[in-house]
Amino acid sequence: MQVLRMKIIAAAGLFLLLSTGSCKKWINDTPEPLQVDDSIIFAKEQGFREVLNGVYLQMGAKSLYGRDLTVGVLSVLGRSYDLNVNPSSDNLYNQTALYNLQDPGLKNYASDLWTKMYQAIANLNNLLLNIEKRKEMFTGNNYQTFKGEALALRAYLHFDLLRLFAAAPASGTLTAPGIPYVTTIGTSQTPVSNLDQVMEQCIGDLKTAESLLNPSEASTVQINYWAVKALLSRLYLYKNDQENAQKYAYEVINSKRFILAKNNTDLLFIKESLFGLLVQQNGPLHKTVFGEQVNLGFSSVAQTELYVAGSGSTVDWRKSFVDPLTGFANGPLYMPKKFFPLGAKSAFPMIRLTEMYYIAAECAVNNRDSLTATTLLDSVRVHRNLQKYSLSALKGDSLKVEIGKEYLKEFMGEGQSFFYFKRKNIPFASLPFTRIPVVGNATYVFVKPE
Amino acid sequence: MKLKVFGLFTLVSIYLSPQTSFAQKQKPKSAKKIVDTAYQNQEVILSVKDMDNLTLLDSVRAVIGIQSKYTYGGIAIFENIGKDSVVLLSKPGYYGLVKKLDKGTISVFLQKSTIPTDGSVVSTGLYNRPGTLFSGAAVTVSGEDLRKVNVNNLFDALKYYVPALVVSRDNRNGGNPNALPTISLRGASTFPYAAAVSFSGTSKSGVQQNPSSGDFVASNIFSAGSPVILMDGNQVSLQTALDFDISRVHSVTVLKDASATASYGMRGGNGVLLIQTIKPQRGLLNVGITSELQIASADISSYKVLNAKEKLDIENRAGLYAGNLNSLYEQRYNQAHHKGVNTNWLELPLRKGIGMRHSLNLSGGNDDMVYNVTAGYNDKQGSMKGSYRKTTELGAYFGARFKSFSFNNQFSYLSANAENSAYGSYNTYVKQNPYWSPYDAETGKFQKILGSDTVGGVISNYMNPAYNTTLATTDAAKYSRIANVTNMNLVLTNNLQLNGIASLSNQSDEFDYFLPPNHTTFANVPIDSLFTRGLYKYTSNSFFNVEAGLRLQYHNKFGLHEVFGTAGQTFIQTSSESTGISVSGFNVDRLADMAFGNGYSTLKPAAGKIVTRYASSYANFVYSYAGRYQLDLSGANDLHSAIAQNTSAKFWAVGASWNVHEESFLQDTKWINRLKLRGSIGQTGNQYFLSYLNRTTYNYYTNLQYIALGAGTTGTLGRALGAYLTGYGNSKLQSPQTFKQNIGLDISLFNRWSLSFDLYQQKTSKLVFPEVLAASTGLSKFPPYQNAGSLEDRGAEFNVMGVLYKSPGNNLSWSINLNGLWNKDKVTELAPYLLALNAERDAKGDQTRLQSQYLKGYSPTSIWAVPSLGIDPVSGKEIFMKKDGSSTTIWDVNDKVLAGDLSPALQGSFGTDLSFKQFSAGIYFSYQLGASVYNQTLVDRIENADLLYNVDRRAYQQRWTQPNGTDFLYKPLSPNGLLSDPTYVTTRMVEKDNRLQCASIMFGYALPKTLAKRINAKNLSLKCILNNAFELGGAEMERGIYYPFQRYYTFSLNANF
Repeated sequence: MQVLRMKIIAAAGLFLLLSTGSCKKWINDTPEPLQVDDSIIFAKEQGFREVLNGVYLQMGAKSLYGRDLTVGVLSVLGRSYDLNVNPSSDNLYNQTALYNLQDPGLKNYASDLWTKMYQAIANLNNLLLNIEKRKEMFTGNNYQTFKGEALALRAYLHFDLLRLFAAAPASGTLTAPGIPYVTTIGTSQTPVSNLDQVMEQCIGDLKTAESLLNPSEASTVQINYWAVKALLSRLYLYKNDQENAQKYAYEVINSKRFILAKNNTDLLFIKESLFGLLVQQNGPLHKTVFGEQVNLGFSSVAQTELYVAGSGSTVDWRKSFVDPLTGFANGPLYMPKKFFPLGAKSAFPMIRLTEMYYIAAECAVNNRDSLTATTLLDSVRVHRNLQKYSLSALKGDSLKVEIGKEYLKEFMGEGQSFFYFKRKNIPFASLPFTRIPVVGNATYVFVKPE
Repeated sequence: MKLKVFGLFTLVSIYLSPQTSFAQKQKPKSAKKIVDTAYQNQEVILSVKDMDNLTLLDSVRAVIGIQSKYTYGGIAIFENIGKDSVVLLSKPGYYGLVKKLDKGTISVFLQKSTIPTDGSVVSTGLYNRPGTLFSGAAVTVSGEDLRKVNVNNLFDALKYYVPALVVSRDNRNGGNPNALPTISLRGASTFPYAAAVSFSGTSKSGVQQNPSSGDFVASNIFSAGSPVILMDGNQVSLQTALDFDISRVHSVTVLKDASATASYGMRGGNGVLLIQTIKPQRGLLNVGITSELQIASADISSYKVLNAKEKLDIENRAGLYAGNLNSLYEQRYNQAHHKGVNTNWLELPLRKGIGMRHSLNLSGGNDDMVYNVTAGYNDKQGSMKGSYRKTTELGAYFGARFKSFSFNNQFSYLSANAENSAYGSYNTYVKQNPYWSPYDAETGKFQKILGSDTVGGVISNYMNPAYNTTLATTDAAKYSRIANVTNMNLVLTNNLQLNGIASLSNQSDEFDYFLPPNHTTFANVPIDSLFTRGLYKYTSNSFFNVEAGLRLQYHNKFGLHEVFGTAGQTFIQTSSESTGISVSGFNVDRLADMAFGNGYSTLKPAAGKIVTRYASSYANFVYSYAGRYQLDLSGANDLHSAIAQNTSAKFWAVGASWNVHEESFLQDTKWINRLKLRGSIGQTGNQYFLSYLNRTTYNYYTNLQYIALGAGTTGTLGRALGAYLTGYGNSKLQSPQTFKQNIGLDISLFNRWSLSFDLYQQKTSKLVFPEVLAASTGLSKFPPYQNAGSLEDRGAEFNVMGVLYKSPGNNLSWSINLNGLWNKDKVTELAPYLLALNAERDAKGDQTRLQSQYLKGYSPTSIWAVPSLGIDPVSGKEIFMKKDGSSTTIWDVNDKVLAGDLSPALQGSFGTDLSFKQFSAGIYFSYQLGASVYNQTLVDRIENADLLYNVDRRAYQQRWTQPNGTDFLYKPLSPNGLLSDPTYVTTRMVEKDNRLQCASIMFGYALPKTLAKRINAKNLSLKCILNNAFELGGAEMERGIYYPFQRYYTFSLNANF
């Protein structure tokens, strides 16, 4: 009996001691049914793709590329519309057209935009953190692909943040304050870098991505090797590094992987896009801009002025406008037909081949190589149902005007023309279609929320 | 390092136990004698032992016939005992026992009546210690005492005896039988409105959205200052404790300081309430019956509204009928003056709620086996028509002993069925104009539209809220809960015991909320949306809790040294699930069924799942020297799924006490029965914050994939799944900590007076708040939570009880009781989140009501208001004082100053009991001093009132009318004060709220034993209690906005057979 008691005591004591060791595991294994722990999501390769998909989907949000960084706010700033821009239709777009970026509504928009962009960046940074921890898990070149895509997207988002929230290099110095370039996930605030530093970091990320991504694996609905090169070209031009801009533009053009359109069956020319974002919400989101809610549009007078006047023509494929409600060529024709039918075009161009031609042409003009510049523009013109220019080499000044007009024509409703104005630091008084006045304190710089 | 305190302790006890048991063995247990029972003059040797730990019991009173003796060394010897005699055994703290004498040597076991309620033993739920050797601050109140004061609400009853327990009832929900009070012990341990933090939208994942009412994790997150409630050692939610049959409560112990709560580790920070239920009595069959009749009647004395003529008059004076509205005035004048319509809307939704409660208890057993079966039914009817809460309870207890092993199993079933009044909120009746009649003139039934007017071509209809009662309006909740607790006890040696506890509880709840299509809510739905009217919300949830524990208990005495030790471990897992759907588009008014709906009103169902796990290792060690000096050490080492992984939260306490009355110099001072000094210091924790804050979490897009339109569903769909961050974990999150200090004094004098006094200080720090982050971190929308902010409470507690007169002859006694809690809370550190909250409240808060501000050095319940210099008699404008002392008529949020505190400085109770012969009576009061209140009635119902509806009487006479008048107290009369000149938070509306409430008046009568015997009853008593009889003092404001406060009349009959 005495022995039995001793045994029981010893067993009980031992149990108490040992059970605490397994306690920790028991506590750590607490299930988390409705949310997915990041250790679970990154436990498989597929999880990294899911997180990247998540970022693409976040980029498709209404205040980002789903609407306002493309057909919405940025296109209003980019002078793609002149119809129904008045306070009664939509105050946000009216203030936008006035370039009144200090307006509380636009400040709110800027804050939302800023938050969502950095939220997407945080998602990328967490992926980049975890990809290093689990490097040995990956098969094939998945590690390179996921990391390259994440870095490229991080650069893409930061570069657009820089172009939105900081002054253009053309309007000041490269040491002017830019934005925080966030490369880690955490609670500490990243300090604001200057323009040059931000662009260098973008270049750094893009060049790493370039080295990681496979040139032959080019799905254009994901950011890819060629889009990275195009982005470098865009970035170098913004930085006014013409040599590199031209180099990367030619690399894309000469790769012959992408060809310019031969017909007008798709006016969004999606096959020319080097990186297009799948935006499923596009339909309803575009509708809120062109449809019954706001009715933004481009008047027929302005259409003629842009597409026909000068070296243009009425048969320019891009001069196809439809009635936003029916999509047909009767009724008011002010919605670019490339968006019709609304929602059917799920990939939205984020960077296009034609921009490479324009960048190369612009660099050529600056190198006083008018012949090359004209040839480059002509190569696009023939694929837009236009005749070549009457001269084989236009004069430098008229080339500059032509390139500016091309940005407006080509990127109608895509938001890129705003970045063109900003890069060129075009005075507000000389913005096209000045039926809409600008406010006295008009600026190209969005108000940072922090 | 991982060697736990108790681990060492176990080894020590293993070493000690054989030695001590050996020592015990040497002693002869009892004199063995074989007596021939045939002889009349026989000797009987009684040996009495404790049923649980088999120790011999001293001082047990044994009565055989006319002989009465006390056991010494566990033995009592009687001589000259007749055959077939019985022995009656009794000892305080044990169940009495009657035993037939059938042989010469009898071994009897007495069972502890759980914890004795006289304070001789303190049970912390994890271990029991003799009261005299306990160094912590704890108080035990017996079930009888509780039931004397209040049989409707356990916590209202407990509050009377324990001033440290603050039970506050929301002024909005009043006496609603389905509303929960908030409870706290010894001041604030968290910031008020912390629940709002949980709902900040930043992390919806960490808290259950529609928790089961039995989900104690969620209920403690929503009311984060609430102490932990344990019922028979098992944690329960406040709602479960309130629904529990009060007549089955044996006692409630309130654990307050560090020494008493440190063993609870992460659960002890807010204090612990232990509810012990009545355990079965031994005997053949004991039957206990309680039957009650309860009447709830609304107390609307605080409501003073205008009658029809006055209302019409004030409208006219305010210029409501200016312009071309004279015809409307004529029409209403006709109603009020000629037709004599003067509806008393205040009474319309009210009634006398007549409910009842029955409780039945059958128990029995012998030394080796006990059982009981209980059943209870409580039908609480509220004072608003159709509001009730019905609970049904069944329980079965079985206990048995086999040699040194004993176990008991307690099964209980509890179900509730509750409904809120179809009349809706009480305030919708208070505001109706008395010149409107709720009844249709022709049919006499409730009409839908009370009146309408046309201003500027727009027709406004005034809806009759009572009309909704004619439809199938539903707001109901029900649940059923099953719980099972198994306790096992193995006596290893005389000094060492091993206990095991395993319990589980499962509760499922359902909520049904239905607004029929013709409900007044949908009155303004346009004709083309006709089929969207009606709303049905259905929520179903469940809660499952498993708990297991094991502990070793040690007790030994070596001469003057006495040692107690306990070490154990507790594991708790809770799982909570919830699903809610919402359906709209109904055509049928009479049928409250989801099936008649058109479609979902929300895109997807709301679902939630939360699992928490908790493992706690604890130990307590008490050393006493000669019963005079005690040292009490406790510690806990906790792991919890909500805090940083692989780190444990450690808690400790050191207590000491000195029984001065045991000292030799006081031995001769007979009038001092007890004089004890005690003190403790230590750290406890809190686990009531959101779950999963320590994890970085993702969610999947459920309505999107990264896929081209028309790409088909094969192959690509799974690959295109998108995940996004929803929470960024703080991997270093710690448990909030409460550092507690306590000094106490217990005195008993002349066997009649007892006094206890406690001084305490508690500092809660490392509270859990979301971080405030820059948007560029990308985490600002789902910030990680951090440990920040701290609060400090200081206070004193006192309790005096005295018997003024006592005469055992005719059972006359008169006693009094006075207790109080003086408490001051102070914010000692602010979290960045709170600073942001302050700023947001200043910028966006609704300034017509109080906006709390948290400032370092001030109470978290401070009232901040702009100082008012009164109303200018000339202009009728309010004049404010700016920070620089200048006066202005412009209200500015930055001019706010401290204008009082919502929490009272001193609160408590006093009362007196009188008993004479078979009669007893008592009257009990509660009081509060030093509290202020923001008189929202003056704001909402006078100055900001909309005269389209009825207003407070004071608006009629006391508003400014002409320049330089003198008889005004409030701002000028206007059709809608909120629109013309809103009154924002001003010191003018801050009033003192010193109150005295008669909590209870009780009369009782117990049938004399001789009479009771005639009906074969052991005892039979009748009792009549009136709760919330009246209230004196306090601000003159409307009390019970959505539901009036209630008086309760209870008539009860209690009999035991």
